[in-house]
Amino acid sequence: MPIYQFNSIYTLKAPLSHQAVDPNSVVKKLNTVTLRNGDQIEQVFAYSGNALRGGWRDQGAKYLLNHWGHLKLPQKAFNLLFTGGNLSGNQVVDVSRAQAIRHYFPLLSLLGGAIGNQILAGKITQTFAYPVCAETTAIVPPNLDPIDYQAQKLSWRRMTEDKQFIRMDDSKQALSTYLDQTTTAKKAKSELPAQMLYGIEYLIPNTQLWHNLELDCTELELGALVSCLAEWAQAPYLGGMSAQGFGLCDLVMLQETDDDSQTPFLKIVGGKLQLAPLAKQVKDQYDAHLKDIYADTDMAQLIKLLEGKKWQLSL
Amino acid sequence: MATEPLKITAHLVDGRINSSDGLLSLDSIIYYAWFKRWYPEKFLGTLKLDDLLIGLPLPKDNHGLYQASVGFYHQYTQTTEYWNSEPDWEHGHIYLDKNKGKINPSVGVQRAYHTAETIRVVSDPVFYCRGKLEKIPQYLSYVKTLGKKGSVGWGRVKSWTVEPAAEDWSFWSPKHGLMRPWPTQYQSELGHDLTGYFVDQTAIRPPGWQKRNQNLCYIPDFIE
Repeated sequence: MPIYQFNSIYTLKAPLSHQAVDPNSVVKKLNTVTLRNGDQIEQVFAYSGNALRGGWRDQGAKYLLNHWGHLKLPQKAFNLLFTGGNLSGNQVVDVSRAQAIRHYFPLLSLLGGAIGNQILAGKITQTFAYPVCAETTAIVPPNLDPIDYQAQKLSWRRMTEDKQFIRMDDSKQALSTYLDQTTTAKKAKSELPAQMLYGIEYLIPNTQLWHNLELDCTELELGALVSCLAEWAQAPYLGGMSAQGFGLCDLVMLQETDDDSQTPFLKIVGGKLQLAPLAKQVKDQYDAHLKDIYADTDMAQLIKLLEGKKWQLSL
Repeated sequence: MATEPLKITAHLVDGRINSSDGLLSLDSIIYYAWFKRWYPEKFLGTLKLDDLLIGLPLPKDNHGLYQASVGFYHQYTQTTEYWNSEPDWEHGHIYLDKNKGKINPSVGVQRAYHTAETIRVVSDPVFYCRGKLEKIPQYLSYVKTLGKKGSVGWGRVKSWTVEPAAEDWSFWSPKHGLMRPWPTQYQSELGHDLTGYFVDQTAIRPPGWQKRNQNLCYIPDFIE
């Protein structure tokens, strides 16, 4: 099976919010990891590989179901397609089910999942996405055209800001005129205010994140990855709070070839998707594969296959 | 082809390995690579092998232990990181076949995950073995990560270096002492004093998850 290696550069066009889970903190801090940069130990912001893969999975599942007439799924199949599923019971090896899943669902074959009580291994290895900064100089490869290496003079701590948000209690403001009299009277007596003050730490716009991805997969599965990114290109946001204007970014994905040179593979700039010939070719293959399946296959059987139930499909 | 003493270094991208016990056994790494090379379908779940002769490019001693050490490294720190998994029910609900009902993400098959992992920040691990200098790099080229959950981003290996070593350090070395888990029942056969080594149940040969391959062993002091 061919091996594809990609260096991706995300350039933030808006602040990025990707916090560590810390329910005790009023200001939610950015997610950091401790890593080794050459011989130095650093604590650096990192965008989790799990979050990236989860995003691809969501987008790829949407792309797939949209191409199959907006197919509706039962919960179990939905969970498998959108999150990779959960193991239930002792593990087994069901060769024919694995073959069928890998044939009918290149997306699942690429990203992996748990079908009933069988683990289906994925085909990706990756890094977390790290900011281009002084703390990652030995990690981010040199000579990637889209990267502004001037940023390596700065600590990532210089690329963050804190912001406070206020959620007003509108019932105490001018909008209170829309409340009925009983509610107004009650509120005046004792009710606690619904006002909220909270803060987040974010990564500033124009920060660049580097990410490395390796796939040991077929062309059809590579096409499934391109489909994920094509769907994501419609709303290219990373992290949370996109409704508040966070997370918009551009992406340049370069393919690393055997002689260590980098060739363009995919670009999402200003929300516009541009595919290099290989990316276009594999996506077309994937689209044709989905179309053939939709035309020739009993969708009810496909759902049974995903649910871990008895199924009847030809390979 | 004759075997010779080798020193192998795994060059990590960011020094982060997901491993609770920290033991990185070279024989298990080569075992994984052997299947990756000859029977990749095994990993895909599309091939069932009942009877197979496995020929790793590592010699065995008379107890069937491969002449390969565990990884030795300096550990800078140990941290806990988390990975989360939860379906995006809100945005994805249009793909559900029912328009009503409740989903409980706390329990059952739809439960959400918030899972802790032990992450070690380490120097590039160094392994020692007896092996074939021509063969070992071919196998290692299939190994892209060390430790758990390489698909999430931990343990990524940038490259491998394999070089001849002056002495065979696969079982014992003057620098580190014990070099691999050594079954307590074979204590006298090693020819070195194992007093003071931690003793634990661990794998003595791959695949390490199989009970029959686990034994009470002296554990090497692999953290420098």
